[in-house]
Amino acid sequence: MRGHDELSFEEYAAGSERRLYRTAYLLCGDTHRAEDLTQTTLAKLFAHWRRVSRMEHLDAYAKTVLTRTFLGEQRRRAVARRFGLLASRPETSPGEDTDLRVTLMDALAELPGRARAMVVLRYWEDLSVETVADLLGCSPGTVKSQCSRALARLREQLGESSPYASV
Amino acid sequence: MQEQEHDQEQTSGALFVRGEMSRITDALAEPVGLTARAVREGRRRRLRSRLAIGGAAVCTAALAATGLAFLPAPASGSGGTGPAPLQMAAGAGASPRVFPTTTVAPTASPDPSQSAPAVPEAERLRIEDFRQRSAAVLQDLLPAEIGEVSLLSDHVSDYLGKTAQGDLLLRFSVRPHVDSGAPDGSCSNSPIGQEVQVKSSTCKRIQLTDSVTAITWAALDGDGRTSTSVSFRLGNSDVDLSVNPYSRGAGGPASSPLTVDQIVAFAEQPRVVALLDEGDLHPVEAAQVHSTAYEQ
Repeated sequence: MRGHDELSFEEYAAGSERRLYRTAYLLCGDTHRAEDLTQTTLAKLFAHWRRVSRMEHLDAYAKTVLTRTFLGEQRRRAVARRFGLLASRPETSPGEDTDLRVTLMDALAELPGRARAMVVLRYWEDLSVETVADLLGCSPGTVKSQCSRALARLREQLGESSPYASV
Repeated sequence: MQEQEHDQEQTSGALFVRGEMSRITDALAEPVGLTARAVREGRRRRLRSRLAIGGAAVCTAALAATGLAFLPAPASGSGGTGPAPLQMAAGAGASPRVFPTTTVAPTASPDPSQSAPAVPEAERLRIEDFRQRSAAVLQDLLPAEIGEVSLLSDHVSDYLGKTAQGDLLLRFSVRPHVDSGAPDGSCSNSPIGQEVQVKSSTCKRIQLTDSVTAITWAALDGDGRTSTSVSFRLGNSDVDLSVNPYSRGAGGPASSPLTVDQIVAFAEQPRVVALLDEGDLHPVEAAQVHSTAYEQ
């Protein structure tokens, strides 16, 4: 029999899993990894649900957990790649991409994990520079300059075919 | 004016990126059964966490109990001064495997970096768990010549190897790197694979992986005893793996029985890599201002 905690968690998870999954996909660029990241994030919330559920900014906390889970995983993968335990190119999700999607996701994939997280949090989650800085443990100036550089790099990657190029 | 144009460009760029992100994620298929799987994984996490806390409490109690049993009675006439002898806090072979801690009395002029403020209990347990697993990889993956491994109490990265020939200081250090300019060690700019003789020591820069270069040292001390080590940068940390004579132990110092190649082979083991990566991600040592990872 499920307790009150579990029911309350399921209610929260049902309402937030799609949003977290979308963010996870933008962070990692792979549907399977995005599912794993979302599942791990929700599992971490569940494991401490009694405390977590009392938080004032629960959604913000969930985003923090997701981002840190992603960055942790990125670093583990980078180390594994360096030591030859993982293929050097990240996987893609075949058969579901339009041309534009491949282009934007490929351009995002070229960014280092941290810069990518900044772009996603700043432009997708619409978090303020200060909030992103707080979440990633860096200064607002770093977020500003990294995002600016990332946008320039995206523009370069997307090239002339994108409407962004004419901005 | 230029700044205004730049801001406008940034805003337009951001709007475009957001629009594209929205279009991309709208097309994603709905994940099925995520919540149910998360609940299952969350239950396992809860259980593991409870077991870990329970296990740590049992280990701590066992260590405390066994440590008390091994404490020597106060020697009459010693006056309580002078360095205390080594104390074995617990015996090996307990189940689950717990590596004992060898306590060394503080020196007259302790290292200021050691006088850190008391850490919270959860953090202390995390570091203890990391050290236990580090001791396990040292014992399991280094050649048997390093003897019986125990944790040394005076530094988080130090372990004791007790052999018939004497004592060894085994260092398993993954420490946050603070950039203090280019490393100025003798080998930091030498060609890969070329040995450089520095007095009675030899260093060599090697290619550990495609993107990681390491520096190995085989050094001779004044008493003719050897130390062997490998150091490299990993992520945001400096890694130092070394085997040295240990002069503060009861058995007297012994030469490193390992070649630098054996230490390099140890550094390449997946279990070691995973542990170093964990130490890089969740440091157990304080950051250092001056890098020793490239110097001897």
